[in-house]
Order: sequence, then C-alpha cells, then structure tokens
Amino acid sequence: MEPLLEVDSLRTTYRRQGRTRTAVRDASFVVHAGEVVGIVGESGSGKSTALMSVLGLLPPNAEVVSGRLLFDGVDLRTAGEAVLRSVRGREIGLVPQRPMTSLSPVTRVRRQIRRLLRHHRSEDPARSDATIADLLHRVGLGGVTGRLDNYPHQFSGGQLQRLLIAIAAVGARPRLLFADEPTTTLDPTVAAQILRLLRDLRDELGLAIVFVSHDLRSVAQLCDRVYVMYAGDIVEEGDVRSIFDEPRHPYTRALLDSIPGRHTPLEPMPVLAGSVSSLPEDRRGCSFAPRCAIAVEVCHENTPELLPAAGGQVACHRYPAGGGTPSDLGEDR
Amino acid sequence: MSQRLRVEGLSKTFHGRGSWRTGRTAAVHAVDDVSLTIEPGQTLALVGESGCGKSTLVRTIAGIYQASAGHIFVGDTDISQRRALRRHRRAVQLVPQNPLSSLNRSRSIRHALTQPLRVHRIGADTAEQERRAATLLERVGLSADYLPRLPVGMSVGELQRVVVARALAIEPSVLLLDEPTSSVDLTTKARIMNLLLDVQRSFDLTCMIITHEIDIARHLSHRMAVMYLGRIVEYGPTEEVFNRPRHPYTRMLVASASASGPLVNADAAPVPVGEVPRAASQVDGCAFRPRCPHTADVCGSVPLLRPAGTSQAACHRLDEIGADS
Repeated sequence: MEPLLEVDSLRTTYRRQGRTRTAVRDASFVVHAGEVVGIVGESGSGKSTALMSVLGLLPPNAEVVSGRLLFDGVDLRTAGEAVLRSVRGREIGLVPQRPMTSLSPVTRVRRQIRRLLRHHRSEDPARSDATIADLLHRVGLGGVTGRLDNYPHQFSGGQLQRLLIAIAAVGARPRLLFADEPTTTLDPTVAAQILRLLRDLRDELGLAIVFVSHDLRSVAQLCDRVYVMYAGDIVEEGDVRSIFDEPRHPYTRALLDSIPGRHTPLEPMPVLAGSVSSLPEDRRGCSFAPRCAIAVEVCHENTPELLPAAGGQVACHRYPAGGGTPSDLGEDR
Repeated sequence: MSQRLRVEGLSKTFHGRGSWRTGRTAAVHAVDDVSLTIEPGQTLALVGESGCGKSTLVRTIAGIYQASAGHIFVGDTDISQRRALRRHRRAVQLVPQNPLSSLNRSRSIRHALTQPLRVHRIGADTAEQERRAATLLERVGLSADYLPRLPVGMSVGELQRVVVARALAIEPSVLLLDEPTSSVDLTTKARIMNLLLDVQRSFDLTCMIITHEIDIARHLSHRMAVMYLGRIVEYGPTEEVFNRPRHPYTRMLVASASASGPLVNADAAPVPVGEVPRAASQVDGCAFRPRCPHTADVCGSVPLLRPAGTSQAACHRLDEIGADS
C-alpha cells in the first residue's frame, strides 16, 4: 500500500549567529492511512522540526536543505506555496503544543471557529452554528456550546485543547493529523482524556496521526508504531510493543531506563553519561557514540545506517551483538 | 541534624481584589486545614494537579506567605510566628520551581551562593564564605570553576544543582522542593533525582517534594500526600498509596500515570473524567464530588481524613468502594 506521507532523507538546518546547525539529518519516515505513528525524543532531537518541515512552517532562519516530502504522491517541498496552503489544515491538521497561545486572545471563540470552518470547508456561515455544535459534541465539549461567545482565557487548558482538536481533526476533515506534544502543558488526568480522545477519533474517522512527544507513557498508550530520534537522527523504528518490550538501540534502552517506576524506590537511578549539546556539527560516526556504553571503534568512525531488524529498523553498529538488558547501560553515578 | 517537620491545621486564604461595582471580595481558600508530619531524615511527596494549592502550601511552610491559621513546627519550635521569621528561614529552605528565573541573571554563581551566608551572617569573612560556596558546588556535583560564571549559558541540570546548593548554604534542617524535575528532559530527570537522594542522605535533611509526576513521587519519597482543592485527600506510606490507592482521586491519578506493569496497555487504564477545578471554585461538601464516580448523598458534607489500612483518606465512601481500583 502507498504510504499517505513519505519523508525521504529530510535534512533541515538552522542558522544562528552565523553558524549552521543541522536539526534533522537525513531522516526518513512513513505514515500509512489510519495509523498512529509516534516520534519520541528529547528536546532538540529534531522531532518538531521534522513535522514543521513537512508543513512548510519553519521559522525564517531554518531551511529544508534536501529530501523529499511526499504527501499522497506530491512533493510538498517543491510544490509551492499555493499547494501548501491547500494542504495545511485541509489535508494535514495540526494540534499545537500550547492551546492557550494558539487562539487569538481578543476574538470570541465562536468567530474563530467559524473563520476556520469557512476557510477549510467553505462552510456557509448561516449553517455553521449547527456544525460547531456537532463538532463540540464529537470531542466531548457538548457542555460549552452555550459559552461560545466567551474569549479563550475563559476556558481551561483541557477545554481549549479539545476545541483545537475539534477544529483540526474533525472540522477540517484532514486525512493526517500532526499532534506536537499536545499534552505537555496539561494536568495528568486531563492529558489522559486527550489521549483517549485522539485514539477515539482515529477509530471513528480513520485519521492517521503523527504524535510527537517526549512522554514515553503517552506514546505507549496511543501509538501503533514508533520512531526514536536522537540529535536529528532516527535511531530506531518499530511497532510499539517491540520498542517498549525489546528495545534494540542503546539510546532507546537508556530512555526507557529513565522511567522512575521501573527502579527500586529511594535508590539511585541509572544515568546516561554526557549530554547531547556537546556534539560537533561535522561529526563522524554515530551521534550517540560519545554517550554509549557499548560503543566500539567503528561507532566513532562510520555513521550507522537504519537497517531492518526483527519487528522494525535500527541504526546501530552493535546490533544484534550489543543486545542486553537495559540496566547494563550507562551506570554513571 | 535533621528535625521533624510538623504542620498543624495550616490554612492560607487569599483575598482577591473586590468587584469595583459591589465592593465584594472573593476569598480563595488555597490551603485549607492541612496537617502533616515528616519524620527526621524522611521525604514526603506532595502530589496534585495545578491549582490544588500545593505550591501555596510549601510557600507558606517556607515563610514566604504568612499562614492565615495553624502552626508550623521544626523540631519543637513553632516557627509560624512572624517575629520568628529569621529563625524560620534558617530552618526551612525552598528550592523554587524554575531555576533560571530564581537566579539573578546578571550576577555570578559566586554571588548567588554567598548572599545567603552574608544575610544570615555565616562565615568569618568573604574568603571563608567563598570557600564554603566552592565546597557546596562540589557537594552537588559541580566544580569551583562555576563560581565566576553567569546563569546564562548553563544547562537546566546545572542550574538546578546551583539552586539546590544555594538552599543548602545556610544549613537548613528542612528542604522544600517545588517541582524539581518539571523543566528538564527525561534523561536529565534521572540525574536530578539521584542528586536529591544523595543530598538528602549526606546532609541529613527532612524533605518535602512537590510534583505532579506520580512516578517521581514514588521513587523519591517515604510518604505521600495527595492534595485536591486545598485539602489533603490521602496520606500514607508511599508504596501503600501507590499500590492500594483509597481515595477515588488518588486512583484516577495513579491510573493516569501507572508506573508499574507494562507500558503498553491502552485499553486497560480507566480514563479519568472531568476538569481540574479552579482554586476559587467553591464546592459544598466533598470537593471531588463533581468528578467522582462514587458520589452519594453523604458526600454533601466535607469528609475528614480517617484511617484506611496504613494510610488515611478523606472519603465518606471508603468502605463501599473497597481498597482496589
């Protein structure tokens, strides 16, 4: 089956104070129709940049240097602004990280929803109130239909996030939804509700979702397939069970190992040595090698390719030789 | 020397600015009749969602806010009287939530670490104060090379170590930490948690840690208190609260961040209902009633903490809803 989105060797760089830094280095990933794909990584791993590259929504100092961004067979990188405008929102919806700052604070909510519906669906304003009520019911906001003439600040963060999901996922009827850390600013009980809502919408609407997050627990609960990113590279890919039950890349294991619930309370946790920020721009070899407990000479010399492994792909010279339990790794202090 | 921290009937009420038309003021009961004890050298984790009053509670214990009612004892000394403020601050120190915004960006780390010594007149002269600052930095895993540096350009993990060192400078017996891991990445979190465990042991501290991440609370604490709209709704040994949550709200929290068992179990976890209420909202009776799946007529009155196994929970219907979620 043709994938809905196929990103091939995407490279995105940022210019800052005369220097160029590569945020995404030759990353490739695919999303099939109706699939929930997770992209996991720490801040600065390039996961949000990859999404924004696809949508052409990068800040002015960033640039897609190379790669193909095929959405339904059309390369969004070369398609031009007119095509991008018709894709953004209408074909690919976006649920932002901070619901509070994504709506205009000085415009009533009803007007903002109407405007979006008109843009994405050419909705007749006379009929839009019924559509809005229907939308709100779909995302469990039936109770606020009477408050639509309020301003965004009069709603809670969880309500606004539901509202934005209603617009992005239901109102515009896209085929693909990008959710960029949609739960990080929410309280745990509300975040759990939003995750369930996304899953329900996938089931009801057959929507494909790319869920970007550093929260492993949310990814485990929501996603079918997961990509793990480190310093701009995709280091591992696999279905959600193989990633969480049999992680192959040492970084994935270190990530899983940093979940406190997996260790004896009140005892020191295993810690990953070093930091990602010290990586030189023109590095050779595996990005993770300086922090990796099982790195050997070849890891510092050659960049590992993402190669097929049981149940997915992994970019590690030491696979499968480096297989072991998570707690073999990075016992630093 | 670590000492027992005991909080008795502590309340903090804020009076909002009144309406310009009616002149009526709205009182917000941010912390309502909270009693807690932390044994010497132990850690209590205070868990709850935004607006539940957990930050107000630690800020009141730290002496930043004056308590509206109640007492705070460190050892046998009541430090809640305003004239005991200097003694209060010597005994109890707070590590604030955001390390960068709590440091002066234009002053060096040296200044941040020696200022508390100057204020509390510790150390004979500047040279000794500086020696103490250097020792503190080493104790939290940084080196004396950091003394002349400015906060800008340091990583969040390093800044977190600096603010912990600053809080330890005047040798308090109680350390309060407000969301110490909320602003850092996953792999840095583990490092900060190890730092806190290490510092608590080597400085022999009584600690209270605020967090909304229940698995971090579980890893770092001996006892756990769950707060909802200004009140403690469950209080007990950490493993007990975690493994046998009694209060319906605790069950919801534990389920939404279940750290035990497999991670991939999408359909097993019950999904919480309802929104986190605002602090100003007044609910008659049990504050959790609007979100609770077990409400009955009896919930119209405010439930008090009562024993349930080895913990305590404030719920009228403990017996009806059983011990397992």
